[in-house]
Amino acid sequence: MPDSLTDRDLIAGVLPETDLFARVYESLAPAVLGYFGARGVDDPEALMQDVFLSVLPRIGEITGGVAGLRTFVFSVAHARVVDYYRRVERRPRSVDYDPLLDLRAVPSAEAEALVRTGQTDAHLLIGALKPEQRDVLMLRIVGELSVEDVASVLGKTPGAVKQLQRRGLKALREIVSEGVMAQ
Amino acid sequence: MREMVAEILSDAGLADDGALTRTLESLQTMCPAEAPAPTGALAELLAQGTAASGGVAPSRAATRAAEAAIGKLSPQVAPVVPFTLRKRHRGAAISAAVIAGVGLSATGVAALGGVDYSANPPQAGARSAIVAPQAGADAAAQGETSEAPDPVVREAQAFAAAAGGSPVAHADRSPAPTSGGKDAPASSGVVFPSAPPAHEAPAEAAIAPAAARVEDPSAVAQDAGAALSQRPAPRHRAEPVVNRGRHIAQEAAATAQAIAATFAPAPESTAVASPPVKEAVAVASGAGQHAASAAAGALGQQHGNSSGRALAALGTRH
Repeated sequence: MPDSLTDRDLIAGVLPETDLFARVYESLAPAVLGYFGARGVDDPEALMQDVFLSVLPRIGEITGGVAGLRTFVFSVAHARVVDYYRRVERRPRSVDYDPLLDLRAVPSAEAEALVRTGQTDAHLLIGALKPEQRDVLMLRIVGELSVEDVASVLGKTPGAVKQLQRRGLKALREIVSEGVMAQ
Repeated sequence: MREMVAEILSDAGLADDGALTRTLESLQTMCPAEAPAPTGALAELLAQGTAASGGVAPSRAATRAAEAAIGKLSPQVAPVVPFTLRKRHRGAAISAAVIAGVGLSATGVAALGGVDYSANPPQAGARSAIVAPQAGADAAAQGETSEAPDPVVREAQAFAAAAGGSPVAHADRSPAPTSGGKDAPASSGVVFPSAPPAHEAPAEAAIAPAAARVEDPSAVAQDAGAALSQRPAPRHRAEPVVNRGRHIAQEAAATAQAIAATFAPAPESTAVASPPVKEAVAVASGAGQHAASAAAGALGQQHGNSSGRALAALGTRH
């Protein structure tokens, strides 16, 4: 996990290149994969590998230590997600109906029961938020980025990020409280 | 991650909300515990480093994203040379220029709108003459009694009586009367030609008998020339352009008729002059005064008679 990577590791010459690449990948790949999964990308692993293919050769250009590397990696990941959704919206797929490809779903009885008992499904909860609120919360919690870094990744001001975070938390709290009230 | 969740909740003032804390911590389940094993190009890159990945490149989108992120995350260096005064106030300068332009345009329009067009007598007279009949008709329809015409209107009536079939005369002959009431100021500035408009009727009166006396072409030509030469120089500014054109066409048609009547019965000149005469008549009837004068001038030079010279003079005057 991320704590295995330190600022000292990123200094040129401290670690061999292959070891540095492997350590960076092992530290940040789960978070990037989780971010892609939360954004609903079809093939998160392929997109994640594409991100690291473009990030790892540029590690020497990155400043700011581990925090700078995280910001850089999630900036690339966010850009790739944006590109993905633009491409999907521009060229919608038209395929024959296949029940296995039908991703439409309603919450199962178990999921609803979990919501009512407060043990909520993460995907269900995060999917109920607006996209920008979801981005902020995922980058803050999963990516472990500061408000300033999230603002840099999303191209927003720190104030806007704080506002989105506050509204996202409020929405999550309402969802959870509704589950408790329903119980 | 627990520290981050606690920090977020404390920032939002929700540190005591246990349900929300558990909810945020459950987001960690979306991340796998370990990174998936790399495949393909990434595996080669991780195994051999950048030296072995020469043939393997990320997608163009990923490369662009990385370059954009590098550019965005690079430290921003403040410009050494501050903006000049002109650049700093560029918006204000453009705004001032736009406002000045709009102001000048509005001022110009206002200035043009303030021009007293009544200073152009002919047009004002024509307008008032055209408006007067309509207003008079309206007044008559309403049963109102009109007042006595003012001197200008009387002069217009005299002009109309002298001019006969002129459209302007028609306009002025109409119940001028109309000048009473609201229309009076409109006609107050009307100025008509001071010279008697007799140049219309005398011209026709002189040419018509000449056409009757077909046995003496030279006399006809002399009469026409004398009648036309006595006409006062037309004040084109005193007549509307439409009426002036109509006068010219009437004159050309009358002159052509006179020439035709003059030359047609003359047996000695018919053999030689008939084709050119017909041509001149046709041109004068159809094409206007310039063509008529040119044809007549040519005819005069060819035959050397006075009617041709008179027509040439008529043509040069118009």
